[in-house]
Amino acid sequence: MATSSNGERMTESEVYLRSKKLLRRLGWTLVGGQPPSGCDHLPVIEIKDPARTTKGSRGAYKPDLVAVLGSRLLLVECKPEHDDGDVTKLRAVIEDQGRRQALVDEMLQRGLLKRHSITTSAEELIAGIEGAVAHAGRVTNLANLCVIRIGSQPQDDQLIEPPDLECHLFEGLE
Amino acid sequence: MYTVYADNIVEGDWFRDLSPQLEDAEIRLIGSRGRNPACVDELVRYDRPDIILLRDGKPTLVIEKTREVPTGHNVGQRVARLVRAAEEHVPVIKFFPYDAKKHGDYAGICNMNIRLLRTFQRMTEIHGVPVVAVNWPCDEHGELIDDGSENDVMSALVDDYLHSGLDHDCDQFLACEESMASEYKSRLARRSSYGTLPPSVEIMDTDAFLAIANGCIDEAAVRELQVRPKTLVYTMDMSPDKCRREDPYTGMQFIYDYICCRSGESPGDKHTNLVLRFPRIPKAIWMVNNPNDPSRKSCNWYLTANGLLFSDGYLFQR
Repeated sequence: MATSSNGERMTESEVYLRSKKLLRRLGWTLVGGQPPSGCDHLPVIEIKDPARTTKGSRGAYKPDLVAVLGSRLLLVECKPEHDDGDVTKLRAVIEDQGRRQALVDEMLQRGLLKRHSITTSAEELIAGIEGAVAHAGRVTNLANLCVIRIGSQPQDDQLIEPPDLECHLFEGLE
Repeated sequence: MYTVYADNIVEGDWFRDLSPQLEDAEIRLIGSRGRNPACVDELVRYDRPDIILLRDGKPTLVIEKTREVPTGHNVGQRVARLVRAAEEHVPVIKFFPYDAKKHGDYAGICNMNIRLLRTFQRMTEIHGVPVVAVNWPCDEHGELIDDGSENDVMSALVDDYLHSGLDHDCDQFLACEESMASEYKSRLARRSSYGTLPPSVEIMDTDAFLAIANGCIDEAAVRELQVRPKTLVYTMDMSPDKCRREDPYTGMQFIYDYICCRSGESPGDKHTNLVLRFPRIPKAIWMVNNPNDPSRKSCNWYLTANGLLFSDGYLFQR
């Protein structure tokens, strides 16, 4: 497992920060997110449970990061190591057509696409929603999900595409 | 040599990017009390700020940052940690939106409670260090700006302060103080209720207060209170089963203290008494739930008021 610069176990906040920086380096536009603690400059995006009709946030999902590249819309969950709970959480959202629609509706309602000059249509974005787990631990290949692997140094960080998509590896990979 | 002590790595990274002079600064996380250098521990005695900047081991700046607009009595949250910095004569910058849209089922534009600006002005006057607010701007829809330009004023301020050799009267601090004064004046003109006290606060003759206390206060404490002819009573309508809490009340006591009571640097330096009143809570229940324990945030209840009045008793502080 990669560690912090002080040799200690990497924290969730460090994984969050490094994931943000990697995605930016790779050309993604960060449109939302919520750090594990503290305050960041990205707006928090809340994906409501469409099955819930009453007011309030119960059942809503707030991704750690939301990023757009072309017609791809990536939801990212950050943890120090691989976490099966994050995998389940991401799949529950990306496999639910109602939640996919709710995510893009929320982004449109908040003017987040316009603000970042994103011209991709809502339909394309809904179709392009993907998930990624980010961590500093051992990589597990996951069907339908990307992995953001945080290495010992920022230049080692990688976005690894799911094996069932076209193999399209980014900088830093052999 | 600068060192950034941060409550969180995300905030520490943001702060370091504000000035090229901080490029080589090391970021360290603020630990729990007793696990930091002594000078950092002194600054986290009441509560933890987001950023403490050290130069050559000496605290030089405290930063608090939030996306939330300080509205209503929530304005009191986070104030105690800033008071501590001012008491230690460390300049303070609070970066937050003056106005922004609140999302959710009750969406709408929120505006700040300007008593916070007045409190910062009084803290500056009393402690002789800059305590300033910097606006996190929003767009025409109330959404916070997040394209990097939101940091422009913060960057200019931090960079100028460092470049000036840590001059408390550097141009950008003075500009900030002028801007705050102007903002306070124009907002007060639009909402004059901020020029008066809210319903939970009343300034009365000390003798009238003693009559309300109805014999709960012993003679020695009565004599102390009678030194000041006026008493500010801040009433909190908490129930006994929900009285174990601090925010936002402990911060609000500082706001009323600095605006209406304080005359000097020590909490005892007041021209008007400050009394916290809990009409529904017996003293014994309060003390079990909110002990004056320095290792707990509940110690903030005892930092500045002259006393606490309960349904059945009084706790003398100073």
